[in-house]
Amino acid sequence: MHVRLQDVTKRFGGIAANDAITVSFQSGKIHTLLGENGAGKTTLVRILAGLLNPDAGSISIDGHPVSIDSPKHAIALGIALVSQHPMIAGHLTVLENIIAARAGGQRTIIKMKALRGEVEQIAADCGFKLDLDAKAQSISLGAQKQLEIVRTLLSGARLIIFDEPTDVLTPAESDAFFVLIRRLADQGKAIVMITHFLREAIAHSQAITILKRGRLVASVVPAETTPAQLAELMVGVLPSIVAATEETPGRVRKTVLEVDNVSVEEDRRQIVRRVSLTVSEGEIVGIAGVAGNGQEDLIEAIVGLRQATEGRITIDGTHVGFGETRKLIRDDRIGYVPPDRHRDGLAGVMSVADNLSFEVLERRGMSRFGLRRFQASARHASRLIERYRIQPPRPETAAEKLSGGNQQKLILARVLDRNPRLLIVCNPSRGLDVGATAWVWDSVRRVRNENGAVLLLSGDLDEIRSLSDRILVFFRGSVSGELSPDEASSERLGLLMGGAGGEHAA
Amino acid sequence: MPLSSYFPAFTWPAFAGNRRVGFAVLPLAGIAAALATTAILVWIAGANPLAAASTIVDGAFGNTYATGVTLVKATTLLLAGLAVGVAYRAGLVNIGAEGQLQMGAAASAASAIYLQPIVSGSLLTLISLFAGFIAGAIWSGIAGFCRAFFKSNELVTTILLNYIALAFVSVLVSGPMAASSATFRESERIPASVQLPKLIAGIPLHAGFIIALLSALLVGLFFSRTTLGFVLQVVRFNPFAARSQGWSINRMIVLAMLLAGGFAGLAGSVEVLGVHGRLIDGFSPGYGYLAIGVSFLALHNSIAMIPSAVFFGAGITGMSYLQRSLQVPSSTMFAAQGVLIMFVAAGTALAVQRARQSAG
Repeated sequence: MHVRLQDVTKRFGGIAANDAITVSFQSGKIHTLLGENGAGKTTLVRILAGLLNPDAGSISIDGHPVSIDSPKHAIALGIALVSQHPMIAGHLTVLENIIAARAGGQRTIIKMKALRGEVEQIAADCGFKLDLDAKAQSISLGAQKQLEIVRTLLSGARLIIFDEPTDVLTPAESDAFFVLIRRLADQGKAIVMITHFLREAIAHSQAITILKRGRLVASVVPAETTPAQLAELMVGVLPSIVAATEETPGRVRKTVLEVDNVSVEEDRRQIVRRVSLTVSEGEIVGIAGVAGNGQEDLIEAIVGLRQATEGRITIDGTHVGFGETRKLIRDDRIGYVPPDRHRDGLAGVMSVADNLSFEVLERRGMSRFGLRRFQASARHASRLIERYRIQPPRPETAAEKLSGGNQQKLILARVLDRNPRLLIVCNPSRGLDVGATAWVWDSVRRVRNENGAVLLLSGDLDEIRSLSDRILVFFRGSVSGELSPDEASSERLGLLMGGAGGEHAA
Repeated sequence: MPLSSYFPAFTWPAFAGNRRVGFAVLPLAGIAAALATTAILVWIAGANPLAAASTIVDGAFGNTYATGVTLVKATTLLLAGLAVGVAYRAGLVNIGAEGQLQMGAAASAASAIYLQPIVSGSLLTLISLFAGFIAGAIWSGIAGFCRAFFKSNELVTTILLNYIALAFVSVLVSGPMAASSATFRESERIPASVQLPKLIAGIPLHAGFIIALLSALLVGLFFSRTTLGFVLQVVRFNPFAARSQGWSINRMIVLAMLLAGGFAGLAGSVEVLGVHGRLIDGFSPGYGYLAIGVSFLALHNSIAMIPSAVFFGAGITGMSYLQRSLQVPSSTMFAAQGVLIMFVAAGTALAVQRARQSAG
């Protein structure tokens, strides 16, 4: 299969998200698209997947011109997109979600047994251990990604596009993923991958195309390049990352957060088991772990969104309990960046200004007697947009029209701007490019350096290692190990995250 | 040769692809389709659709009295429409305006009749209106509470509560509240001093019309200006985001339903205090259901509901005039109403879907 895009252009309100892009994708090759947030990578693959219609340009498959006007048509042509955020029906089982790829066809009666066998075969070929009868919403993000891959293969795709596939995966899962797509490529599939991880791009792909502000700026051969070169092509000059640690020795650091023997239950199952931890002023405590091992639930208990079934949580010595979230936010005692920004962060159809006002809605000046003050809200929005360089700088834009990176900036902006006593950030740089990641890391470090207490939860080990002063690893609801960043090699973290770290722990 | 080659400007894809046009046109297209279907129904019933159309307009707006009647219907429809719209803008589907309106009417009538020894005059009118609001609020609040704490679908519970309310009012006027001399199932008459005053002598338009307009305005302000209205909209657009902001979704659901039902209760109150002067079995020809159409046609915008309610009100008065003058059976009218709601809801739903698609 040889898919060629010729001079493909797509504009949104005068801005060219794709400007005369010409690129080909071939069977047997893993082709990586690189670029900053908003460079037009997602737009390009959405055009391929039939989700967007290009304004100009042409697409051909094996020399025959095609017009991909709907996702259905794309699938019929053998093109499938595995998007960044899992597209699943949460209430259906894993199997039902997978066979949805086929059930949409002509058959009126679904041959469950036969399909089940086929699905099991594909999953086994890929080395996935999927519980086909679990509800799709109850499985981890990593497993949801596996679900989508199996679904894609079942639909008979020949060109498979992965939008930031490894974002939600653990190191081990990522490695397995790359082995898998290599095998798929060898079987004759064409693979297109969008990623922010430069090393991944170099290590695993056969072609790299770099986009910048909607234009194709370079096509490089991975073997002949370095991460630094790629970063420079993407953003121009690489931003310097500053202030890793600024130690002020001899200070007495007060404990801000104290979690004492806390357990959390869901459906009468213990998902957090007697966890204790502390976070003091001027330190970043990192929590590493495979998504779904209870760390998110512990965080929710800390911010008051979940009931702790036992134990005690205090912030600055005061007990905090279930249902107090709003009070904690209002009093600037916590700032909370949730793990899944797409789901928990924004009301997409509402404006950027409205979304920026979430946390300060009741603040004096922003509202009076329950009435909102629009001028104050507009000023607040403009200030944050400018200070945190949110693009496009228009407060009235619907938040869902922002690129993923700018959505993340929006959420971070409204939290960081409040200078909360305890900052809880989850996956702060997920989906961000090199430049934006540097900015986010700097911001988090600045909070620490200004004596703030930070609890960081991240699935990205680089992030955990670069930012944390102490690292706690979560496995099956409890802390499986505590490390300093120096001791925390990928291997060691990986072992602890897989629960095999017991014998290594000192 | 396709039509578009003669009229290049009117190619369907271009037309449907234009977000702005699509958004405004689809609800109107819904009305057009409904009117066309109604015309067919009228024709089947043996009347000339064109003559029928002019008869309807004549019946609804032909003279000041007819216009007054239309606005009286619009008053009730507007208040009931707010009950649908307020719930919808908080992400809830309230099909229970009918029941909430019945309960509001019952509470309003009961307080106006039984509190007479204690208070009288316009103070009692206010108490009675308040009682109507509260009763409607409680009735929908039940559905809100069940949704929030037992996860029962409010669409289903509100419908079920309608039947209970209707039966409850029937029971009230057949026994406990029945007028001693009545041949119909109705309550004692509420003294004129407690009823809502007429705005213009000789025309049935009553002060409830002002209440309804003010309510629409207040609801508009509530959603655009208040922090609470803002939070309700966040709950609608993304309950997960609302949750992680620490806004209690359950509380918001109950609150939105209470507020919504309150307006439907008021709709019942103005029927009792402004139109009938008593509680009558079957006083509502399905206002609570028509209210769904009122709200959808206005895309749930409370100010746009004012003309929408007048439109539906004109439908009722115009069609009943049609029935009297051209002998078109009343069932045609109910069929036409149903068709209208269906098309309008489909049109607006399509418009919203299209807007969302082009946003994505």
